[in-house]
Amino acid sequence: MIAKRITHEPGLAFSGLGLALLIFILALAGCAPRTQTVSEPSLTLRFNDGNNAFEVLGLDARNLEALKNADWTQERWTALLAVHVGTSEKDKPAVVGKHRVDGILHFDPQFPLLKGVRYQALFDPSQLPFPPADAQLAQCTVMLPTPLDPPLGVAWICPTADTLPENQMKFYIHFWAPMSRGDAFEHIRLLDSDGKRIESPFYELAGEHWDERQQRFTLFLHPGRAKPGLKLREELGPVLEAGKQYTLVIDGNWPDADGNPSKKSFRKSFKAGPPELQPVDPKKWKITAPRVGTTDPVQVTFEKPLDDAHLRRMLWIIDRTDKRVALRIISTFDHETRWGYSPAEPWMAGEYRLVVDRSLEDLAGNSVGQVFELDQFRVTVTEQNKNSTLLPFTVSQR
Amino acid sequence: MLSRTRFVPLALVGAALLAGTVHADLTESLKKGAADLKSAGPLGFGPDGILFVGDPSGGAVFAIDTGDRGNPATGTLKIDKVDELIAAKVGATAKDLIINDLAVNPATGNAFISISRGKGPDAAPAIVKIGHDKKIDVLDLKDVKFAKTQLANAGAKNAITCVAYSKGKVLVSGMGNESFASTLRSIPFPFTEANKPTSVEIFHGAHGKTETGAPVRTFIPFDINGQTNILAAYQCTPLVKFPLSDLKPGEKVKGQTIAELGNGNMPLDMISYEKDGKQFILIANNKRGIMKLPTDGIEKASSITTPVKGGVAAGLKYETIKEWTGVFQMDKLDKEHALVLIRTTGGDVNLDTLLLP
Repeated sequence: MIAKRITHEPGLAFSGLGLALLIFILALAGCAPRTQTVSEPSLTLRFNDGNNAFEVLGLDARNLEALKNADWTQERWTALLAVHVGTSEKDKPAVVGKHRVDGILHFDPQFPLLKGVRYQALFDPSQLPFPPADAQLAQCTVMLPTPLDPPLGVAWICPTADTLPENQMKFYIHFWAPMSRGDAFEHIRLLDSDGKRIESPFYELAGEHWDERQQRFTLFLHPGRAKPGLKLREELGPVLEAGKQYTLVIDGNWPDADGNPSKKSFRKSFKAGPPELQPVDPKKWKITAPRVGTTDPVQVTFEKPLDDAHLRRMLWIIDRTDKRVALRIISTFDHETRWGYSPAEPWMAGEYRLVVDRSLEDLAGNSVGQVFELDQFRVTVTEQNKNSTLLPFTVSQR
Repeated sequence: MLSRTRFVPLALVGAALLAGTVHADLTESLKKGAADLKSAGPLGFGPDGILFVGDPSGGAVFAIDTGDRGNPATGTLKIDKVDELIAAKVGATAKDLIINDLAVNPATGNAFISISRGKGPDAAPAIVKIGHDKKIDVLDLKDVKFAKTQLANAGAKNAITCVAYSKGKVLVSGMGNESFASTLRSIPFPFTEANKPTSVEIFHGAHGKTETGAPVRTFIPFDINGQTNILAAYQCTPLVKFPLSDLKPGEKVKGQTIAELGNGNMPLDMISYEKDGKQFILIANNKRGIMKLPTDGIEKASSITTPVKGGVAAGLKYETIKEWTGVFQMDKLDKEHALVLIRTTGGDVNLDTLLLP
């Protein structure tokens, strides 16, 4: 039996339209109720955000038992209790999920509700196995809040130098918070010194290149315009030319992971210099050893700027037993021309080695002992097959 | 992604019938459980309703038993604003949805679409099935027969650009998100501990004096004189072929450039088909209509060995099918039709059936 009396749940917005109940709940940040309810004394349709489930409370034992044993099709269940995005438009499918009976009737959406999206649940008691005589539809609208503070947008862009080789391969765009993916290239443009947009400068892979938290986006310049002899370069020319000034612009409309744009654009201006055509050469590096008993970093100065992301995973330290020295932090300095490795425990006196993964690249994709543009099939360098190079240094009392 | 596998199951069945036996059901190698995909990216169909799914975020490839068997459906399939319908089904709006790939099960003609539901780092992967009755179902990946193979990962995340099945091997192309190197992996199927992936670096030549590693954007297995070749389209924008037999562990593969597609032709997807006794391939791209290339004489196509000058197209000639503008995903539906996803100028996504040109 469904009672006709309507009761309020304290603290919640409420309106009644006869017995067709509509509650639109905007759960504001910091005061989101655990349950959001449309209720009658004996029948309640609500969203329980703790369980990510819609629930119908107050069904009588006879209906609960019948529902528990019901061998219904999905369509039949949906006729009883369904959730739609937006309003309950009949031409759009209901949200996929599972109905179950566990003292109450639940609908568990297969995917958690998204912030900022409006959902409408519809419960039709006339579809119950034993429908009450005065059955009326119940509706419940839910929208989980999006954060009120706007996101901060771009934090920094690597490389950090103001002059980059004209065969610069990529940029790393670091954000303060996780971002949304899928439309990245709508928010990035490269301008020439006149502020004119450069055509097709980027390698636009549909899947996009993100780190795991979606806080670092890798932007590759278009390879087809970097390589001599390719049709694309013949048609459009290179993206960057030595001596010219450019500005990389990240617009403020790029939404973060919650769908909110920062409204702050970020600009990185730089000048293109001569192409970088030499391989990375560890023999030219200078290692400054730390003092024994400290956790000061061992510092390495390179012959040129190297790829910031590579510097964080392609260089490490081993001790004389080939055991990796536990890391506290890696730092890069001076526009990625210096690197520091601070150990978790103080340095012991003795011999150590810097391990260099030979895939380590400079800004133009040249790696250790190998330039990016190379006849791969004629090169016969014995070290070609080695995966790493070792550079020794000694930690001592000074 | 593509109809690259269409003839494989038919060939297997045909061979089995000729031999008087029935080929083993490949789904028997799959185990029931929760397929822990971190993302659902490129798709490619194998035999017995097995869908191969590239998981770029998880650095893995899954083989999933879709249970989609039966006779090929006939007729066409057209759903306007299919993105809105899929989004509604997974409890999202169209703007919260990323459509990653489309594949048609060659055995049934049903469409499968991989999506990201949400755009943040916690976006849920999903695969939806669309039947000829236009019904949209979401595959239950938590209770499904599947197998998984982890791709070797050097530390950085890798993008997976394309997945295909051919003659007992799953082929996977990809690139890193911190370097420009390309890999193409050949993974024997069924996945077993002993069946380790073969990973090779792919180079395309004909850049004058130099050759560089470059990411393969999309590819199809393609038989030339009984030998399986890979036809690979690069972002920058040569079309390259090399024999599958060249994929040997630890060796570098040098592809033969057979066409240069030029500016505005960023390849997105590729299918092959036969019409009036001739073979063609179609390449979808992001700006112009579809490119159609006849592949007659591809075995004799001379390699482009000199730098392209003055923007003149070199190698195999293509024609642009302008009527197919907006196509960003496609697969072969039957001998005469392709199933395509079209992004309209208004930003909607339509599922449509087009007559192969």
